[in-house]
Amino acid sequence: MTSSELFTVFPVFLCVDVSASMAGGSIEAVNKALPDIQNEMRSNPMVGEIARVGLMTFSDDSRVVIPLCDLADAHLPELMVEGGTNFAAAFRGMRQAIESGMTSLPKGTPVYRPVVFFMSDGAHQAREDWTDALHQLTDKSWKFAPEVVTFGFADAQQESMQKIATRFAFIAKNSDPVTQVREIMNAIIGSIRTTSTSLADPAKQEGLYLDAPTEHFTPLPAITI
Amino acid sequence: MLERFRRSFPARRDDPRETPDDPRVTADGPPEAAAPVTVDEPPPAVDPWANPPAGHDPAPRPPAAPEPASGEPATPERADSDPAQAVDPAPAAEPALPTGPRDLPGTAPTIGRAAPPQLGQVNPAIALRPPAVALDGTSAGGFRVAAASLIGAGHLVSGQPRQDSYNFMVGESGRLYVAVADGLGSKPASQLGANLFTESVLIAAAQAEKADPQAEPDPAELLAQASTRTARVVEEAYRLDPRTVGFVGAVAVLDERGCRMARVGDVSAFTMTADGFDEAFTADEGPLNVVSASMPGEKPEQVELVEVAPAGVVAFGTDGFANDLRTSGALREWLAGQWRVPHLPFAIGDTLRYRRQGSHDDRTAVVVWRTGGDDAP
Repeated sequence: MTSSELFTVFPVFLCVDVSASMAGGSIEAVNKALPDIQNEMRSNPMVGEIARVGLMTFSDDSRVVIPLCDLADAHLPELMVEGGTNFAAAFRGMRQAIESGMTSLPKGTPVYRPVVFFMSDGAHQAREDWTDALHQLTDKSWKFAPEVVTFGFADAQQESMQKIATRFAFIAKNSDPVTQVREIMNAIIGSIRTTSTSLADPAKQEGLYLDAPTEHFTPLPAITI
Repeated sequence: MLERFRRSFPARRDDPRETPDDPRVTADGPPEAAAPVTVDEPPPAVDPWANPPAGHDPAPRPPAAPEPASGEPATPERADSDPAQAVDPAPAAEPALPTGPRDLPGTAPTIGRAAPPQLGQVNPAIALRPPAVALDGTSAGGFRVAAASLIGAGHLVSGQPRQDSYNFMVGESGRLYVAVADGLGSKPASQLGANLFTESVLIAAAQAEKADPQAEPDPAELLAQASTRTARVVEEAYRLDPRTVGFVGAVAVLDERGCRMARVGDVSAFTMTADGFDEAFTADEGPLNVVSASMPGEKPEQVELVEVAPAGVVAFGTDGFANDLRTSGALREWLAGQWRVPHLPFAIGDTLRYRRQGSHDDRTAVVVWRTGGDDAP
């Protein structure tokens, strides 16, 4: 037993598509929603106590924008659109971000299973196959293997979202990408809030409380590949 | 009279501890361990006029409505009954009421950046709802037992019931049987499973003692019987699928030779030592929200057994308490100071009222003191 204080952590990672198709209202909607997540951490003490958030973007490559941290104290940069869409790069980068974030916690910290919220508006465009990188990310023998929740919108491929998700996949219903992004970010905030607080039985909750209302999202069954 | 009595018969060191209102504790208990924590949250709201802090002059109480003189009517006559006798039309000032949810101040520390106490809610149509708090503090044969089970802030806020349960029994043999269970949050009626399990353990223990008082009870067998009975009662009496009541739990049998314990899942046990606490089981290192084994329907290989030599103080607890004890030096130091002496119900409840960053789960601890022998605390 440690002589120091080790507080329980619920690690949440956002994996946001910043390919060129996100230009305009979509990326603006993401940038507008990030302070809302931060406000949730600051205004809801039960969420702020436990949730730690990391932010990663991907296009042709991946980039850790905010390492896993207490978002209440973080500086929020403005996300910019980049190039194409490479899911493999996203999954490789996400595995590194999780490994780095989780090992940065004090040794012995009680943690919940990490959760990745993956959002994309398009299809994988790179030549390389992305399934190997996904398997590396979700490999159950890896002690930090996350739960991956996918939100697809605009031109996202339904089947890809189903394959990437470990259990929960959603396609946004609204035809306007800006509205779709806004609803996705609301769902992510709601899910972090509900999971962090209900987690109170966190210890026994095998998974998540997702807050993705059916008027805005179509839930899809996950496909194992 | 009380003072004279206490002077004539000084309290024993192991006098049961009650909440600070109890003069026995204030006067005769061991010195309070300083809580090595930062208090970074305001204390719970209390009525400052009802309970002013020592040495502090509260703001004057707002004027209350004047008391009628003896024999006078409690309400003034109607002004229109006799204009010449009209009463002052100014409304009487209403007594100020305390704002916000009110609770008793506690002595337990706040550790880290912990949320203030929550009022909570109850979701509609939850019929199988155990009370949010259960307390005990009593003697049981050659043991003193104090136990508390408190609903966690997470369940309070989300409107769910407390899903922890405990119970204990002293047998004709003098053995003490302790059962602790923790319902799985992902199962809709897990609080039922947890409660039925702890009840079933005691029924199984009573039957075993009756069948052969000399036989050595096997905690693993008691656990298996209790799990089976729980599943049967859930199906037959409640018409529910046993899979909807999943829980983890443990059974402990204490006698003069020590403590034997069987568990499925992460309920745990700690012995108090000179340095603090030792955990009887090996703690899981995986994610907290991934359940490795549960009941009913457990496999024999999922039952873990442990045997502990006689110890002055043993504490059994669900993970909401066990995780905090493992990961908080401040909590261990504070509880080690508190639990040196047996507790009465409200005092044991107060010791689990600590607030700690990220600790939102139900908390249950059953603490057992041996009242005789060289190893008594």
